[in-house]
Amino acid sequence: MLLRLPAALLFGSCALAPLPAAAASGACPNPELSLGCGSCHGAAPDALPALPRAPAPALYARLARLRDAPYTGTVMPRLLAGLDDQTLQALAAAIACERGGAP
Amino acid sequence: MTTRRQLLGGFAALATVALPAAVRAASARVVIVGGGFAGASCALALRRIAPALELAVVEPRGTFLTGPFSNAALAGLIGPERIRARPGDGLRRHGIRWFAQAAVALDPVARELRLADGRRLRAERIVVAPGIDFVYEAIDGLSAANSDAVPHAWRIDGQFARLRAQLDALPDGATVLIAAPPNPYRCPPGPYERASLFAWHAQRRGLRRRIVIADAKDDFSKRAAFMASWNALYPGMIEWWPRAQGGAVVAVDVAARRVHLAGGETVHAALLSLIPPQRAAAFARDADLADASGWCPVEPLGFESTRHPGIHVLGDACIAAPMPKSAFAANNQGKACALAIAHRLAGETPPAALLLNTCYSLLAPDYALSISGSYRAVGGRLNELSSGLSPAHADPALRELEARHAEGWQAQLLRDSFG
Ligand SMILES: Cc1cc2nc3c(=O)[nH]c(=O)nc-3n(C[C@H](O)[C@H](O)[C@H](O)COP(=O)(O)OP(=O)(O)OC[C@H]3O[C@@H](n4cnc5c(N)ncnc54)[C@H](O)[C@@H]3O)c2cc1C
Repeated sequence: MLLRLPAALLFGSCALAPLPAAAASGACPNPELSLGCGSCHGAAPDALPALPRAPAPALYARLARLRDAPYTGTVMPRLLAGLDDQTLQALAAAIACERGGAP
Repeated sequence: MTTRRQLLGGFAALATVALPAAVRAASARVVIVGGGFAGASCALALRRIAPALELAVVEPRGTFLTGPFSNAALAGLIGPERIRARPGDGLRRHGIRWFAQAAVALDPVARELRLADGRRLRAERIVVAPGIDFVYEAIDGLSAANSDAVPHAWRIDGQFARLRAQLDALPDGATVLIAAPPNPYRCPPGPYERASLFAWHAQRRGLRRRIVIADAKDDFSKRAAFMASWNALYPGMIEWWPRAQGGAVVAVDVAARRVHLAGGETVHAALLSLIPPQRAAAFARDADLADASGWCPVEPLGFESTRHPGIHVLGDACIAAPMPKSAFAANNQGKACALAIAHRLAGETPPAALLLNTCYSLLAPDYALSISGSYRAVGGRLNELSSGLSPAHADPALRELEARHAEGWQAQLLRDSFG
């Protein structure tokens, strides 16, 4: 019974799959930036939407939109507010690799 | 301080940097004391990052109730099964050795642990994540022995059922007093969430109830939003008595269910939930890891003790300000510590992790408030990069949306931490 969430505020949900080989073997970049994502977004029933599987530039664009969205009172804009473009790009690269999207 | 990433230059270089092979291949013995949010998260992350490590977790409790949503479970808004953790299952599934007993002593120089059964364990790195203890004697008349009658349930465990039974037995018109502790303590919004859900518990049964929060502080987490929400949801039911108005509880007569406040007032209540001041768990203090504050100082990259190298202290027991003492913070610290340990064992400087915190407080089934922040080590200190909280006044739709987010957050935090 999830409410419809404002599209700009959420990552789209997508099918869950086992961790891609790159992530499992430690070959993904910048694990120190993405380590907090899985505390909310994951495979638990009722979890918030899974992180999307998408190439890094598309993820970066989405993260930047979340960061720069007008304040609506939910958590993502606050969590990203302190990250500069370069850090956000590095975070997008980490998530893209971990989720098995293209680099 | 120059980080590895800065040395490597801009983003183009970053995208190609994965963990060095030496970090992945680190082989050593790491033992973790405490299988709560911090210890279990750290163990699971170490297993992923450096599979060759020999890992063991020492945790006497095979199953326990956890903090997030425990106030909702007390008030009957959810069942206790939703907050139950079984750390042993997840650890064994990932091939991590579990000693189902307490660690009784740590020699922080020799890096040797002694377990309750007399066994000794030596390790290259030892992670200490034992949570908190209570300073009962700060309230005159309160003791570890009689606290069960005025339950805090702040470690959930046995007092949870007692507090729930006392709450369910309250008659119409009863007064409840919750004593909120001074900073720092586990779960800063917790006492105020508890007051809210105790009000929901009465409202749902059509009972009148007076809920007094006797506070040792003059401010609290999300105060403006909490107070506006109390007016909207539970008008006239919840009173907050700050320290400046003499609200701090200084003494209790447990048998008579009567507290004495700093302002001179005496309050008799049908239910007393006295949450005492807190400090790091005895295990950490006995191992010389705490300073005069009662909490354990650590460096911010890997939460390594500044008193004893090679020993890491995580979660509520450590001084990680500006991060709060929360399950989410403990979970993130566990992962950052794992990354740092793998780097140190390979002789590398660990990268500065991006640490996050989000805590939701439920005030009613469809009504939640959140607070969140992001943190990173800069120049040897943990810095807050950003923070924010729910607006003090908002549309009910936003509160309901946050309540649904809260459910997802709690479910995934449990799964991510305990496997
Ligand atoms: C009412 C309430 C509501 C809360 N709500 C939230 C919330 O909404 N969101 C949130 O993020 N946090 C919340 N919390 C806070 C959260 O529960 C704590 O911050 C979290 O548990 C800290 O994790 P930890 O690993 O440091 O300690 P713990 O989870 O307490 O784990 C410590 C473990 O160490 C073990 N241990 C202790 N001594 C020894 C020893 N000598 N040998 C071996 N093992 C030992 C203990 O058995 C225990 O399992 C809440 C807490 C309470 C009380």
